[in-house]
Amino acid sequence: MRRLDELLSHAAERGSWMGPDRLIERLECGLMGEREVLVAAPPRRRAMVATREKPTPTTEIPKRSRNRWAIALAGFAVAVAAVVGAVLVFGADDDVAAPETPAQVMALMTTAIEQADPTQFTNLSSPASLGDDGGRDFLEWNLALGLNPVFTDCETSAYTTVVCDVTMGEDYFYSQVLEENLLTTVRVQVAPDGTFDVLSWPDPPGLVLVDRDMRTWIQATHPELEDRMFDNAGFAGVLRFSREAGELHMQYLDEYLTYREANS
Amino acid sequence: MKHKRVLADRERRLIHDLYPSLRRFAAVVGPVDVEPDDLVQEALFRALRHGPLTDLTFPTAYLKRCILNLSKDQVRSIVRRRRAVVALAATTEAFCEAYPSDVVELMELPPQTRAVLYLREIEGRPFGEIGEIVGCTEKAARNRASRGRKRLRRILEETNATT
Repeated sequence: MRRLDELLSHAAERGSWMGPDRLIERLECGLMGEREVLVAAPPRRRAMVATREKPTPTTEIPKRSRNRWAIALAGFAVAVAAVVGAVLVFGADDDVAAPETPAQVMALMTTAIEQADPTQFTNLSSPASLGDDGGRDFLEWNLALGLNPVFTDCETSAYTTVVCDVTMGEDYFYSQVLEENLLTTVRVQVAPDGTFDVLSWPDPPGLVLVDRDMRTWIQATHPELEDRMFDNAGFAGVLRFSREAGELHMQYLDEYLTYREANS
Repeated sequence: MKHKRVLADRERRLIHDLYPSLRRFAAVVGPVDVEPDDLVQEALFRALRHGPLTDLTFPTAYLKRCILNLSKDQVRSIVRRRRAVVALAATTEAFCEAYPSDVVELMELPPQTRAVLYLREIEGRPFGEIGEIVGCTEKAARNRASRGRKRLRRILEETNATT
């Protein structure tokens, strides 16, 4: 049974993780292009089975009116409200909090990361893919690995969500192993009080294979370190998120790179 | 990274929440040479063409069933393609060797059996619910899990004997 669990867990991690952001991006492209359907989707049923899954929160879908006059009237009302709102906002005193711009939000994150103090990140949540492991250990681990993010090409959507390209830094452990300044996309939500919440920070492709390869190498060369660096419950079933694990990764980086070079 | 804002924010948030679970399921159920993310994307794509995900009462169950149907179709397509390739003698490579042999052996089981084993052993779902997701009765799901375990044990024993 244990063997079967391991097999299934192993299989569940195969391939390269695209991450939800990239997936959504591709989906949007696909939906705009409308590709041909090859296999019919199963019929949709309102009540499928007695399941432990939580039902999707449903909200009432507003009925669409075809009355153009009503639409025009609503549009006019919105325009008037916008003008009045603008007058109130721009005419008011400076103590009214301005919405965070992408640059301000990302500067805030960069400063917090540069301070290398995870207590600064009480408002930083872990990416959804990490489950309940908590973002703090994950951050400790990443800081020890030399994470030095640079955010570019930021876009704001819905006034509260900021999406940026992020490079991890040349000195980042995985950047050195994969010999490129790794790039991914980060999605941050900004609350009205200026605090921020990382919605997702997907891994660039190839990291899982590096983790597995390094674990195999550590097992062969420094078996006494395996439990301090790796775990069977963490991300991709191999990593242990702690500052110590990150520091050990960096400590043995040169040795590991030599091994990789010799075996490439 | 130019988001075209086709999906509503609620849909995006739901996809964010469902992604890890769907992706893991697709990795177990899908053929070894198909990227799990491609299966998830295709399932979402087809589901979204019928309407918003948030209209579904049990989106995870629905999408998992969709992924399973796609996997079965992919397997049929791959088998057909392999036959054609063998007939043409174009190549002798059957599987990519990117994954450990154990996983390849697991992948020898049919997608439906892998789905039953995964839903039972990893997600711990009752057989009644598993039957609904994979499209069979509770008893059939139970039998399939039992046969799957036996078959996998036999495959692994044969592999161990030869090595």
